[in-house]
Amino acid sequence: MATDGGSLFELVELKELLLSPGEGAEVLVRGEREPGEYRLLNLAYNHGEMEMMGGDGMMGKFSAR
Amino acid sequence: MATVAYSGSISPLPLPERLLSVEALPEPQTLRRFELSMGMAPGKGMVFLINGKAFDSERIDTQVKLNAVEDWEVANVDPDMMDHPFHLHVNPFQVIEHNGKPAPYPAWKDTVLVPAGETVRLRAHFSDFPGKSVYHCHLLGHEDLGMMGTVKIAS
Ligand SMILES: [Cu+2]
Repeated sequence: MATDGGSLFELVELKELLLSPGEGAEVLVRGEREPGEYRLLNLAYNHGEMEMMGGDGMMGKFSAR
Repeated sequence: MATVAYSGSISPLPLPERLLSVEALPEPQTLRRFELSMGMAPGKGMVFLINGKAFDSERIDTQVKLNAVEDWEVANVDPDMMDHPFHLHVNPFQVIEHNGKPAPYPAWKDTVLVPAGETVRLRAHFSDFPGKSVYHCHLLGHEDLGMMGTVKIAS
């Protein structure tokens, strides 16, 4: 429903969202399935960073399962 | 990263059809190109570059007229094929095209990921804030090793 710069004009339905460092998003998670526990997962993403540079290069890919 | 738990039920609430308007920006007066890259510098080792230059606080890289609308084509030409999230301070922008394809919906952004080998065209209206500001890669290691530039906005 919103990015790092502000609100969207209309809702965009997503199953996954890639966020790089500095990016942000506001999301609305609908609780309309069977009652229970649902995990929001941080998925792996290869951004080409070399091993030696690791640590500060975290990027998150986010998904509801 | 998190677990959502819920139980019981209520009747579903309607989602809003419209949020806030994201106004289209006027056509740009200026098109600039920024090439994100890396290289080796004698005595320094690895450096990260914008248009072939590492950051220098004494240098103005980009002169923008106050109130101008500009398109910035940010091209990731890094030979090491690393992604670079491009961040512009103070002036929000809209992504117009990604690799020549129009953005799927209008959105205000202050950071956009430019994946290895790809090009993002963004549009900003430098309307409100004269003075110096910066743009840079949002990966701290890249920014510290030079991937940053100074923009000066003046009437
Ligand atoms: Cu970078």
